[in-house]
Amino acid sequence: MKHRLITALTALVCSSACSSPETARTRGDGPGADLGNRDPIVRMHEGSKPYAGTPRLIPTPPPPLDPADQADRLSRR
Amino acid sequence: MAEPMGFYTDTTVCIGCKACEVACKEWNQLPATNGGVNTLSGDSYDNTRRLDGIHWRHVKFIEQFPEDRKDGRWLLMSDVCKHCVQAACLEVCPTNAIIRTEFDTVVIQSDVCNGCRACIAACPFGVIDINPVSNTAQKCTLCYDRLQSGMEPACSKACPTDSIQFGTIRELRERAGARVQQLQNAGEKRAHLYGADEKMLGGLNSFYLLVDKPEVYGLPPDPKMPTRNLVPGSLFSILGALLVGLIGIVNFRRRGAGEVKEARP
Repeated sequence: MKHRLITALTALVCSSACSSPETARTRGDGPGADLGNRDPIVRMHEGSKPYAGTPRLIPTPPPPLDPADQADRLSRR
Repeated sequence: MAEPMGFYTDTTVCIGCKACEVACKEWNQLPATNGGVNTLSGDSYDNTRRLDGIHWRHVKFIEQFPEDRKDGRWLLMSDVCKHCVQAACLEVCPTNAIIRTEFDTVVIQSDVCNGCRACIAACPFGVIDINPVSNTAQKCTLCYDRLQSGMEPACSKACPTDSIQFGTIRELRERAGARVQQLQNAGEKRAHLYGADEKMLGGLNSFYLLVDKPEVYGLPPDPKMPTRNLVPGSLFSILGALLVGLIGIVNFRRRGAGEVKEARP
């Protein structure tokens, strides 16, 4: 009986002391609470498109990257 | 994992041009207005007002003027997701839509998000909001797609005064430290860094140079993780359960004693 009580109390204290892996994470210290991404290079679903999967009223092709390239070439850096 | 990357924002050189906001919207294809409706703030030159699902960057205008308008001060700050080292939003996301990238940044995957809004409540900075088009939670991705191609994020690229600087955290901290020293030597003793060290949520990957208290800029002075209440909450729950159980036992014992008394002739 005493043994069972001690086990139950220990289990209670241990379960209450559980904390998220985020709370102890340091800079550059792996994925933290991000359980689904363990690879060194993270692969996102659908790139980083904010409207991924959202139906469009007018289907349009993705925007050309030329303006960005031009901006990159013309920028001060 | 690549070296942690982030932003250092020197608020003292921000001119409030909002080029960063425009660049962010342009690159991420965010609408200029919410459903075509232009809403003016009515009490400020700042008409975008806050970070939300369609404003992933926001230049705060802190306009401090006395009643007589003779003197005044403008504090300008380009606000964005802090990409916390200990991210509250990532911690609470039930669908694992929020991920941490190899650059130590925090990104929401729109196609995995179910719009539960748990991250909105968890974020101590009020950064995340629902995008009305996709109905999912959205925020700054630190231009993850640009980073993967070796490019600088759109906002810092567009900043004309280099108020927003992008780079490795190590390099940015050195740069920021030197700037604080320069300002303090020039007499601005209140200049300090917000979120550069590890004390605040393990460090913010987007940190700021401020010249007043964080509250003045609408930033929490001591942001916390939502799990900070986990241990005391669990212990109080156990205590409460034990107490309720004890009360039940005592009440049933009394009722039993009464029944025995009534049964006696």
